[in-house]
Amino acid sequence: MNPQFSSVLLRRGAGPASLVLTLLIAQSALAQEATPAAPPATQTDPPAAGDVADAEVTVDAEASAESVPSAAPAATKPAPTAVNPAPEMPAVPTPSSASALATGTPDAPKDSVVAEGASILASSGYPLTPGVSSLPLKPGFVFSGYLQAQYEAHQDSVDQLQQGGSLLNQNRFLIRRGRFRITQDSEWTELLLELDGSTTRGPSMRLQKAEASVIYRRSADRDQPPMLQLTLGQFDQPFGFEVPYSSKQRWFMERTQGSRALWPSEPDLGAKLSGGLGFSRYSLAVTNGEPLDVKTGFPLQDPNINKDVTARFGAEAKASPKLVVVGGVSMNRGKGLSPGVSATKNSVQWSDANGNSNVDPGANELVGQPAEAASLSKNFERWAVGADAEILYRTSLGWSMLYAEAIGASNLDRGLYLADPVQTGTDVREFSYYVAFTQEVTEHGVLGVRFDSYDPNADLIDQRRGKIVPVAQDIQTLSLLGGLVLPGSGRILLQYDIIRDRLARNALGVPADLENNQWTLRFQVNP
Amino acid sequence: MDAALSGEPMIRASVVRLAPLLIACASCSGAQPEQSGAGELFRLASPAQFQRGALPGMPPPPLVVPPTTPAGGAPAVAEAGLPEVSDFLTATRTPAQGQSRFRIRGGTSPNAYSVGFALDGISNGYWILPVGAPDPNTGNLEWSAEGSFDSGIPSKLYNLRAVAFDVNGNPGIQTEKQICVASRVPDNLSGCIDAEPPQAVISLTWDRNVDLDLQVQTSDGAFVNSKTPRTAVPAGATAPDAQLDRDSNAGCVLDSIRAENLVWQKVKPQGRFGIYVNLFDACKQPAVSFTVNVYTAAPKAGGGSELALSYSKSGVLLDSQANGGAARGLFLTEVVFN
Repeated sequence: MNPQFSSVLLRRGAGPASLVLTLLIAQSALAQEATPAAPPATQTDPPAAGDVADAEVTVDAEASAESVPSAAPAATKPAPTAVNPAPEMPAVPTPSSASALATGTPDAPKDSVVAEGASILASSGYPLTPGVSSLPLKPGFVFSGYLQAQYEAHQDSVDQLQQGGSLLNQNRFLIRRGRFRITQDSEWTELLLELDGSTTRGPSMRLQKAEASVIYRRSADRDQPPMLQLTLGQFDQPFGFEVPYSSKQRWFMERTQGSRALWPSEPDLGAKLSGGLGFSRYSLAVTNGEPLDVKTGFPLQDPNINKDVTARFGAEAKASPKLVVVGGVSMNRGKGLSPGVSATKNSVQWSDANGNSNVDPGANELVGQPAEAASLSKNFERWAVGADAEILYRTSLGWSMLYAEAIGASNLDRGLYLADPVQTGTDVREFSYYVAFTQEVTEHGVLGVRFDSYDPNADLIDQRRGKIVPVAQDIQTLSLLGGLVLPGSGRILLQYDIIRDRLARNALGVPADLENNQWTLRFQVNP
Repeated sequence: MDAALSGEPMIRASVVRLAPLLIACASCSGAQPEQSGAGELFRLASPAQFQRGALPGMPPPPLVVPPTTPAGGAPAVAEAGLPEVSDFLTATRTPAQGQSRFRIRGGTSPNAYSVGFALDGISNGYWILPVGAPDPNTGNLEWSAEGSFDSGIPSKLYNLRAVAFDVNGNPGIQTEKQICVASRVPDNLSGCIDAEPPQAVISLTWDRNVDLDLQVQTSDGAFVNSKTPRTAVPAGATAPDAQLDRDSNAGCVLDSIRAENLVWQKVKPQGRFGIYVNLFDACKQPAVSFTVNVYTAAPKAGGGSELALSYSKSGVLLDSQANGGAARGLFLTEVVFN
């Protein structure tokens, strides 16, 4: 019995004898909490006092949690160990088992036996509601990270520079992601800082995430998120499945084309309310609306007063220890800014009308450009709705995962065909969907296939021989994946992307597929 | 010694076999031209699309005969079922090396869907351009495009060929237009036609967008540079012997020509000439590589004259050597004209 149970008896107005008995039991339980359990015979001696003090800021809970006994009773604290001598454990239930699993690392060693209904997702390493996953308490600073180094080859690479100087060659070695994360928990709060080093667009080191959270009612179930978590800072936007899904855990190299066009990068600045009640999951965020890496010119800033609202409401159903079904619906609504043009001075423009490379004023080749006033910037509405579904099933080979997502959006492309209805005069409708399947082959291999399609403008028109005709602009990608997994250490993945788009033209001048398939060989180390 | 893991030798053998393949794939640069056409010396701007292979269609007859167009109807060739390029116009027939926005336009028979273009001897494929709206007067479909000529195209005469394609991608008969790609070094088009080239040219070219100046000390001690771009007018003459043709990237107003030439049109220079190269402004570039070429008129194989390279020297200047014109530039060499 624990002290909470004792207080329940008191509230129910038990008699004096019962009251005394209850107090004694409660006192006994408290004394038991205050005294560490006797270490098992094989356990090393508790650390010295000095070791405990040092451990407050140097503990690596990712490793130390391995030594915490699993399925510890809620009222019984684990014995301090030499690896993780947490100086003061809170009264909330301590998560059991390895926190590497609790954070959902697919290639972490899997539990051999999963109790029915308990921690299936954490054990399998597939957090199917990313961003609303469980929050195991990790007192002390926890340092973790991973590195993705790769070679990629693109069929359209050429040893030339684009107008403006950007590289056309994409056959290269690069550090795709080098993430370093620091977290620190207390019963009510959580701090998360994540830095990202990359050479994708030249060498850079930047802030990827910075989350300050207040948490209410953590759960001992590693699959169950807290009832309520309020986060301020820079966090992954809670739209759909793919955007907030960790790049460390995703088998495929990158998110789908549509996801990357609508959300060029995952994090944005704002406030987020998230959590779970029973099988339901929710996440509601208010953000600046200009995520990291947007090409509209204002990444992680906010050019307008309006704040974007993003939300996902979903559910997780554990049908059996081998089957989990998850789904959700998402929405995003906000306002983008079409930037105006700065004022200009008078100028003279020469147009070589007769192509003789000489200035011929008599041929009207010199044209005066009068000073122009600045044009006003204007806001425009943008939105997206989406639905996603994920099925996780365990076979004798390993975990199979089938998942799909569809997104309809308007004026939201901020990464590929930048939407600006103020300039074009019409709203742009975007549509994206994908279906993906991954299959673990024992715990040392993985196979995957994914098909995705993105239509950046459902209303595009083109001129053919003077006639206006509707044309498709969709980009379809078939991704084939295979890899070796070093459980708990890393993975070696090879992915081939067959891309079908309409970026070239055929002999009739009609948009046709550009030869731009690509393959990537990636080494990921996540100790 | 540790025991080998199960399957280890097989894995090692596979890796050994795959390694050359992976390395080959990683380093392959593509034997055939890229689909983007970015590496082509003659390019057409979007919406034109580069296609690999030779320009399809029957070559034009040796003697170009203007197509006969029946009054109010399509050209005769179109009646035979083959699409035809009915008009082929260029703004000029002398585009310069490195020139962009070279306008070409024209028309096709009504049964055409696109037009292909190639520059003879230069293009590694051809460019496809969709045709536009019909001309209300003739019914022919109009097209227009802008071309770019890389500075690496040798200065001489070329045939710019065009061919129309029908709805099934069948080509018609090619049409060609002769153009002269003019040299960046002023040569009075002597590479294309029988014209007398200048007597001599000192030419400075460089690789980055900086304000670099050619400075020449003439045999009489005068100093020719962007501030004083002419040599002294000789007694009895009305024009100077030599003149600088431009001040490229002056004041970091970038023209991207990156070339300056001191040209002796009529009079052959005599004596010793000191050549200097001055970095006026680095325009935020860390360094610039440059080349000075000296050309003199020489007899051409088929008769006449042409500019022949008689001296060449290259160098590098750092941004720290930019002087804003406060001093003479880097002394490069002294050339002697006899």
